[in-house]
Amino acid sequence: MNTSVNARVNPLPTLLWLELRKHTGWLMVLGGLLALSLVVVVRVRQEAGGRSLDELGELFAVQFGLFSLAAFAGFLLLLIALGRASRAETWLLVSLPPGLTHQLARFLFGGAVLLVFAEVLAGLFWWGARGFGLEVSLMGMLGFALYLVILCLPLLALALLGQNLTLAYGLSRLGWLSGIATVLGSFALLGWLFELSARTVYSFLPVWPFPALRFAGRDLLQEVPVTGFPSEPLLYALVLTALVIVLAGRVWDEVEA
Amino acid sequence: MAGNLLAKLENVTKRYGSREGLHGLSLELPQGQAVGLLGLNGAGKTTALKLLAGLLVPTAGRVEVLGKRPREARANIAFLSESDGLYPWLTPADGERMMRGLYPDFRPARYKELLAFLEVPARAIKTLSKGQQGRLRLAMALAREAKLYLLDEPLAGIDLISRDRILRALVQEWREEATVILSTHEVAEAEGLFDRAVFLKEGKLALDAQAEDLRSQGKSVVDAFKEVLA
Repeated sequence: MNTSVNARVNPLPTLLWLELRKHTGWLMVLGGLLALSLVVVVRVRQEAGGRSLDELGELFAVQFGLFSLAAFAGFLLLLIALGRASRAETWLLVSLPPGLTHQLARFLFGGAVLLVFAEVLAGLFWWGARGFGLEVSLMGMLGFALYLVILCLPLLALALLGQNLTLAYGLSRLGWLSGIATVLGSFALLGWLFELSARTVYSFLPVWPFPALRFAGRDLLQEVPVTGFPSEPLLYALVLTALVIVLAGRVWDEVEA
Repeated sequence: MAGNLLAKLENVTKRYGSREGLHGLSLELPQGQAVGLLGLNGAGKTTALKLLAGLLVPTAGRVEVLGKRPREARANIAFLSESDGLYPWLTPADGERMMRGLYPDFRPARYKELLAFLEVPARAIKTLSKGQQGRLRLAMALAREAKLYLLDEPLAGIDLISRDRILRALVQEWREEATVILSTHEVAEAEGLFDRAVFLKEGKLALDAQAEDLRSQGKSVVDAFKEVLA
């Protein structure tokens, strides 16, 4: 009797591959958003030549606004993709990997997509800024994108949990109550996290440095009283994310087992 | 043909809220036996299979597979669900990659043979007919080297030609060391497959008989089924 077969395969690569196959269409949409952003940068760089400082400021503001919009739209798309994926989701034929492995694969995939999207956008922004003569540190911009991605991870994990709850218990009859409780609970949890972050900023962790920002040889951040973003909210975000993923794994186990 | 005890249900009751899915069911399932789990809709067949697969936990009583709780014996259980297990955007070839990466006992060569035998087209699952999807599910389940095969309604909603192929695939797969439990309404068509027929009625065991004994009494499994329902 062979009862030790579990040890012979690592299911994570297969689960990640399944995620990739599941979300191919959405990845193309995200790629399209990045392509559009590239077009904007190229056009703005062409327009920037020989403009006055005021006009450059306006152009920069437009580009900054469009990038913020692209980043928001990309994140929203990812959350919608995760939510919609549950419509075609299925329990496997008595799955051997535990629920946590399934949730980890989904989260790692979503997190990696979000990170790549944000980093490419940050790189494009850096290139676009150089077109205006604005010297931004590339590493600083990439680091800033990573900072924002980490802050968004709890939302990604909550989207996964919501997907699992919907798949497991449906949203019909009394299921609506648990759905509403989950949504309200998420808002309450995030609100509490925000308050905790606000109370403890810059208190016990080293700062996450601002990207260096110079224009015409002048340091634009010279007069800012702090040298970076607070790192404490990142810690809370990571802890909350881990807890939510474990909970999502338990929901899977509860239904699949 | 039957050997050592492979799985058992001891006085198992399963309630869904106020409704009782199974009541006091006791069964012993030896190794190397083909068991037909028969009954009308709502008789408790799927509940019994899910309890054996570890997908449900009994409200009362005890379920064991290979001397352990079903969840701990999962590596040895192949479960064919009536509805789950297929991602619509995959192809049968992708299914092989998925199964190989998730189930260590999966046999790719056997899977390919089964796909060919069951005539499953090599295109996206969402474009396959219900019968073709059923055949694909069966190929995925039977391509595993399991000790216990739990097949929940593999013939449901499937055309006559596909049914014939499925039944032939099942007969091909019979191995002495494996126990197969197949739930079905299609008693007449599957009759020749069973060593033993277990009839459930309203969540209770109505009859548990060896097919051979029934035949020696001049009865078919269909006759016994009709008697139980009467």
